[in-house]
This record gives sequence, C-alpha cells and structure tokens, in this order.
Amino acid sequence: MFADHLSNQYWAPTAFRDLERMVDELQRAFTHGLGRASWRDGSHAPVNVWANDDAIAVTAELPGVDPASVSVGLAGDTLTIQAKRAASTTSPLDSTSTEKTAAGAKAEAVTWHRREREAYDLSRTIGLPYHVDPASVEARLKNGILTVALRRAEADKPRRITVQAA
Amino acid sequence: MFGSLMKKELPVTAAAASSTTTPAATTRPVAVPAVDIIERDTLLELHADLPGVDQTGVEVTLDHGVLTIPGRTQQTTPTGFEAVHREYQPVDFERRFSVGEAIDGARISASISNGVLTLRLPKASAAQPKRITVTAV
Repeated sequence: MFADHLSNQYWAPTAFRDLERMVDELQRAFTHGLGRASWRDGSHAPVNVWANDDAIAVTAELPGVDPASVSVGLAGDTLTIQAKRAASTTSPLDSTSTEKTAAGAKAEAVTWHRREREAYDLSRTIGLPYHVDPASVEARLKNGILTVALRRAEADKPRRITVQAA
Repeated sequence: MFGSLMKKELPVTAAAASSTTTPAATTRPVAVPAVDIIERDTLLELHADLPGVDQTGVEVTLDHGVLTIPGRTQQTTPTGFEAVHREYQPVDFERRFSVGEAIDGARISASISNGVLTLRLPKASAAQPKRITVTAV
C-alpha cells in the first residue's frame, strides 16, 4: 500500500495513463478503419519491405538493440533478422519499501513504475520478392532502425527484348 | 504529505489531457511510445522507445509539472520504391507525464541512444531517503 503512494508521488495516477492509451488505441483503430495505414501491430521488430525492379530495402524497428546484438542472414530468397534486446535494468526487483532499505546495503533494489518495454531474443524471416545478389547485401542500424539494402541478381533481372521490324 | 501533492497534480493532469495536440508541422500519425520507469534510491529513470528519432528530433520539456516527451522521426520512406510488405508506419511520438514536486526538475537529464531515450529524474532532496548516523555518546 505504501509503495502505491510512493509511485503516485512522482507520476500521474494510473487513470491518466489509461486515458492516453485509450486515445492511442482509438486513433489506431479509427485510422486503420478508414483504410489509412497508420497502425502499429504491437509485435516486436516490425518489418517493412520496399522494392523496385533493381533493389529491395528492408527496414525494421529495433529500438534499444545494440548493433552487436543484430545479425542479418540470407539464404536463397529468405532474409533472416535476429535481434536481442536487454531489459532496462537487471537490478533485483523490490516488492516493498521496507525490503528496499534492508537490501540497499548489498545490491541496489529498484521499483518498477511502468514496464512496457519488453526484453526479447527473436528471429524474423522475410520472403524476398526476387533473387538477390548475396554479395550486395548491406545492413545498417541507426537510431533503432535497421535498414538492409539488397540488389537484384543480374540473372534475375527482366530482359528487354527489342522487337525488330521484319 | 503525499495526499497534498496529489491534489496539486490533478488539475494539471486534466489540463494536459484535454489540450493534447499533434505537431502542426507533420501529417504523420502520433503514437504513444512504450516506457519503462524505474525508481532507484536517488532518482527515477525513464526509458522510452523512439525508433527513428535522434537527438535533433527530441526536445523534452517540463512545463508546470507536465513532462512532455516528443519524438520526431528522421525516417522517410525510400524514394523510388514501392511497399511490398508493411508491418509499421513511420510515426511521430508523444507522451506526457505529470511530475510531482518530489522530482528536482532543474536537474533532469536526458540522452538518446539506439532509438531509446533515457531520462534521469533526480528526486528532490526532501524526497530522498535519509540515513541518520547514530553516534555513540
């Protein structure tokens, strides 16, 4: 009970947060319902795939993922993205304020007031629309967005056949 | 003591909720970023997922007890490409929190790395746990 008071001391009451969420959900549902693709499906590492005749760009949202914790693999027409994200803290959980004082001397205990960012260790596979040149693959992670650039294999490019007048 | 703090916060909270506006400069939808809030002995730590946002796109403000976290994404859709598969839409972010007097507003610090904003909100000295040394007489 005391812990509840302590959390409310610093942050808005839960009702405020719930209102925020509700507005977000409504906005999401409403715009999606209208057919405008302004939605987020809530899954980890959402992926977009962009393509033209010569190249493919794959982007994925990976906020909080260290570049060293991402690997990108290509097998045939399948791109694999593996990513690992750590939790915000590994400090021991604190259930009551009294325990915290007692444990404070050994390891710092923490209290979570919001826990919405999940840790994950995931693998996504993406089917590519055509054969790509494995040597052309470039991956970059910037501001939590992974971008993988792939070029179409020469052998896979559509040929233009000139029609000659007989 | 906690009760009086809360009473002060509530009207501010209500005002913030009713005056929610989207940035005029963009037509991108605005999403509520996921956050972790962790309390330590002397401070609160807030981590917010802001994929696509760098330090130029986030200007955290504290105004009349309302902490606003905006996030303008740098990500643009690649030109000359067609979307063949979509699981997300680039969005801007905004989230507000009501911050009590137990936080020392002047000493809030922020950093952003890998699309995650980290705010450190030091507790006001009055709200910090006191250690009273017992001296032998």
